[in-house]
Amino acid sequence: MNNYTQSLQNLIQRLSSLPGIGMRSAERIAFHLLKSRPEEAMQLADAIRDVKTRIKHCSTCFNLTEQDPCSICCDSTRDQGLVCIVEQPKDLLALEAAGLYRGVYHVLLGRISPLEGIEPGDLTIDGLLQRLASGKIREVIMGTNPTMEGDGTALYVQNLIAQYPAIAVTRLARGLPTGSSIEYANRNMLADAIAGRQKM
Amino acid sequence: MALVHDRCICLRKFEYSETSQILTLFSRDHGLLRAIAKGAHRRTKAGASKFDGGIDLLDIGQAVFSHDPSRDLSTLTEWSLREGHLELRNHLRSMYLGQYAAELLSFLVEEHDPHPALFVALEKCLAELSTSRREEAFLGFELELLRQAGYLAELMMCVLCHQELSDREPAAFSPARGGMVCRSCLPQVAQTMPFDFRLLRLAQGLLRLPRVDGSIQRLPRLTRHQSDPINRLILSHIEHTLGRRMRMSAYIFEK
Ligand SMILES: [Zn+2]
Ligand SMILES: [Zn+2]
Repeated sequence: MNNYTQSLQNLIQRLSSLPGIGMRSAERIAFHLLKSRPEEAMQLADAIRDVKTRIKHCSTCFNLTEQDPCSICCDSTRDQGLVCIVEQPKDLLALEAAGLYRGVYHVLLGRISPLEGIEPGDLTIDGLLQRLASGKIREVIMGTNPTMEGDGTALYVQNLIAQYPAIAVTRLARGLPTGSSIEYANRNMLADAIAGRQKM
Repeated sequence: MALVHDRCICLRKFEYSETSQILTLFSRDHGLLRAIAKGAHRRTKAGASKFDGGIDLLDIGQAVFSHDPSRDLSTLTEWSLREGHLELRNHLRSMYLGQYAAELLSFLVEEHDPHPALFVALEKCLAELSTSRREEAFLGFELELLRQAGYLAELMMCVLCHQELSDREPAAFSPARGGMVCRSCLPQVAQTMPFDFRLLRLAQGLLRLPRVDGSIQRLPRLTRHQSDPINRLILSHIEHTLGRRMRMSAYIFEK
C-alpha cells in the first residue's frame, strides 16, 4: 500500500473504513473508480455530498428528510392524531414499507441505554412532549424494539405521557413471528404469544 | 481451544457491527467473561436465528463458548434462552435495579474467576425483582456481592478503634476508610457521611441473617426510605473503592 500515490492511498483508507468493506475490497473499488470515466466517478462524490448536505431531521418527527416538515408530517390524508414512536429512521422505513399504517411517527433517534451512557436527554423526548402539549394527539403507539432497553424507553416515555390523561398509549403486539414456526420461537416469544393470545 | 457449556447471565450488550454483538456474560462455573456473538442478527427463512432470537440484557441462557482465560474475548457459538425476565420489563424500577446489579457485578468481580454461589444469588435476585419484594431482593444481593467479592464495608464496628458503635452517639460512614467511624474517632477522618443509627442497625441485622448457598434468607420487607440510604452508602463505598462512577446510580436514586 505504501507504493500507492497519496491520493489513492487516501481513497483506499476511506473506503476500507466503511462497514463491510475490507482492505481488498477497498483496493478493488478504488481501482474501479480510477479506471471509470470522470463524470461517472464524480456522480458518486456528488451523491455523497447531497446526502450530507440535503438530508436533515424533520423538525416535527425527526425522520430523515430533504424538506422540513417531512412528507409524512405534511400528508393531510394521514391521521395526524395517531403517533407511532420508533427508535430509528430505519424502523420507520420498515413500517412504511409494509404500507399498512396511516398515522404519523416520532423518531427518538435511539433508546435509553443506561449502561452505555445514553440518557433520556440524548433522545428527542423534548420534541415529543412539545407535540403532545399541542393537544392534537389522541393516541401514541409504542413501537420501540422489544428489548430490555426498548421496553425501558417505552415505560419511561409512558410515564411522561401520563400527564396527558386524554392521550391513549398502546404498544405494538408481540409474540410469534408470522411465517415462522413455533419450533424456532424462543422462550420469550412463546411467553408473549401465550400472554397475548386472542379469541378466535 | 476448548469449547465449554455453561449457564450464563448477560450483563452487558454492545452492538459491535451490523451482525455482531460483544457481550459481558457472567457464567456459573467460569466467572465473568467477554464474548463475541458473530451473526447475532442473522436469521434463516424459517425464522431460526443462531442465538435463539438474539441475546438481551439480563437474559439467562445455556451457552457454548470458547474458553481461554489468556484471551480477551471468548467466541460464543451457541445460546439457548432459559429465562428472559418478561415480568421484570413491566416495571421500570425493577429493570433499573436489575441493570444496576449487572453493572456492580461486572466491576466488582474479576474476569475468569468463578463465583457459582454469586451466580445463584443473582439469578434469584433477578427473579424476585419483578415481585413486590424487589427492594430487599436487590439489597440482599448487593450485600452478598460485596461479601463474596471481598469488598464488604465495615458496618459492625468502628473501622479505626474497633469499638462497637453505640446507639447514643452519632456515627458516620467514611468511604475512604471503608467503614463506620465512631464519634470519638470522627475528628481524625475527613469527608464522612452521617448515617442514621436505625438504618445502621437494620444493615447490621441483614448481615447477620442466615445464608444458604450464598443467598441471604428471611429478608425483611424494606421500603425505599430504608433501602435508598443503605444503597447510597454502599454506592459511595464502591465508587471510592473502584475510583469510578456507576452509570446506573442516576436511575436508582431520585435527584
Ligand atoms: Zn416529520
Ligand atoms: Zn472509633
